Amino acid sequence: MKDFMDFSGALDGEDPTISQGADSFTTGTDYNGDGIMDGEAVYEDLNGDGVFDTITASVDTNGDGIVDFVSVYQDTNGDGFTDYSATLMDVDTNGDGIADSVFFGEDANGDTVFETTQIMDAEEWAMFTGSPDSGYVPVDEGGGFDAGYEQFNPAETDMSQVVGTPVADEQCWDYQGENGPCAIYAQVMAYEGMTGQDIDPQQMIDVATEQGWYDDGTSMEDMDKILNYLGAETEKSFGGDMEDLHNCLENGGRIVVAVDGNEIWYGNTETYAPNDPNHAVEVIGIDYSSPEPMVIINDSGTMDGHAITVPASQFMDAWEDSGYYYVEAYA
Amino acid sequence: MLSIQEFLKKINTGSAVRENIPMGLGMGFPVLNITGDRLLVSVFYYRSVLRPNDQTLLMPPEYKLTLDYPSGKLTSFENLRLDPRYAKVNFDKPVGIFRHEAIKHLDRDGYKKAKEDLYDALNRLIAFLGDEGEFTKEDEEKLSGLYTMMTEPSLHPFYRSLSPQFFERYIEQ
Repeated sequence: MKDFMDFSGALDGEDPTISQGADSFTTGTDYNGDGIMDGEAVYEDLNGDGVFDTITASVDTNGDGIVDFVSVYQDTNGDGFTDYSATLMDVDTNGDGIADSVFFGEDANGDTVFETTQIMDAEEWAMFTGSPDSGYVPVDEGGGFDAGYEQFNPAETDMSQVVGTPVADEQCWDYQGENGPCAIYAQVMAYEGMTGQDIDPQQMIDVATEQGWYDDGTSMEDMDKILNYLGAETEKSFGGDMEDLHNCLENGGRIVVAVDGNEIWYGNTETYAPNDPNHAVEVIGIDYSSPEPMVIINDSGTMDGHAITVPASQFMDAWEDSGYYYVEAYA
Repeated sequence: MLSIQEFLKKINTGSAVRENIPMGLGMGFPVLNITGDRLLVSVFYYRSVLRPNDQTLLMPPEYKLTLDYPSGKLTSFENLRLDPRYAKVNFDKPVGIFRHEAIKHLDRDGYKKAKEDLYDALNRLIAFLGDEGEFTKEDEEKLSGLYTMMTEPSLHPFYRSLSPQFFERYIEQ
């Protein structure tokens, strides 16, 4: 967090040392006063205004040569007083003499009292820092995120009650890896389903990046650009409904929709995210054989996202968050 | 009066967001700015990387939008990745985990309700600012309490940057 703001000012209780053009400097410090240096203080001028606004103190409190205590003090509003501080400290929670967790305390209002405290084990800490070398493995580098979907099974379905060609389109599914290229993958899957051609998604990501249609994500406005590039005709709309999906599929079209992936991935479980992140998936069919219609989708965002079935009500909830935005595509 | 819920829906389907915000980024809570006699609404957009068991990773916000209320006309658009003030931010590294302590007790429906309560309280403030209603001390405490509870502490520096005055009055409690 220390890097996120355009801070200025000096720190309360510390020499407001003028940076004199330096972005930072480091001093060795004897924190316990035994005459031996046991830590260091890093002074940083994060906004480059010539005044150090952040001090990071790193200390080896038990003399084993390893830093086990880090505290950050910041003046975030330039009034000359520390108004943010955070402390990280190794802790031994089971009393075996070996640090096994990290204590995190945060005082975000400068009253010297931690409003937020948390003790994290190694895995939680790794998640918190996102540090690859501390055990955090993004899903696209590990086993992938398995949402526990139910796949469409034609053997257990009255196919006369199914619109679309989910059995064939399932073969076009591909896993995108972590964030980002969902809309590219959805368009590629849709195009492959319509034409039978085999398209390399990475090549399309390169094209989209070069054209400005992809920059760590795709805007809704650009959700049909790869389809157009490949030669498909498209139409983008807000306010779609099940009938629109049905009609498109019945006419041999393919559909890419923007949804709140959380509501599809987690459904009614207790897990949820703080906002409505849009995600693009391809609708490849609707199965009317059960009391509640099931929407069949190819979702490139999870490892098991091929031809998955989502109850229509759950799908509509997820779709609602984009204003029922969709792209119809025809070869 | 256009409710904040309707306003947010309008901007999230409007051209500014549709053309510029990549899918996959979600909107934070809106905050207000007052410039002269204009009421402005500022929001940021950020990614959250889904993980089960309340380990959803929060990434630093990447875009800031400020819009005129209620017209929705865009008054500023910032891509923080291209902003030198944020040059030291690693936008690909999480800054926190959802759910934070203050909302641990809320299930999905509880969270949605609290969000609606916050927006309803914000609507009262907006009405008051437009001379269309009262905003009592109780209203202020309710709004402040909800903002404080709902906003993710790890994103507070960004909320502060959207509107320092609003942040200090309603979020930083």
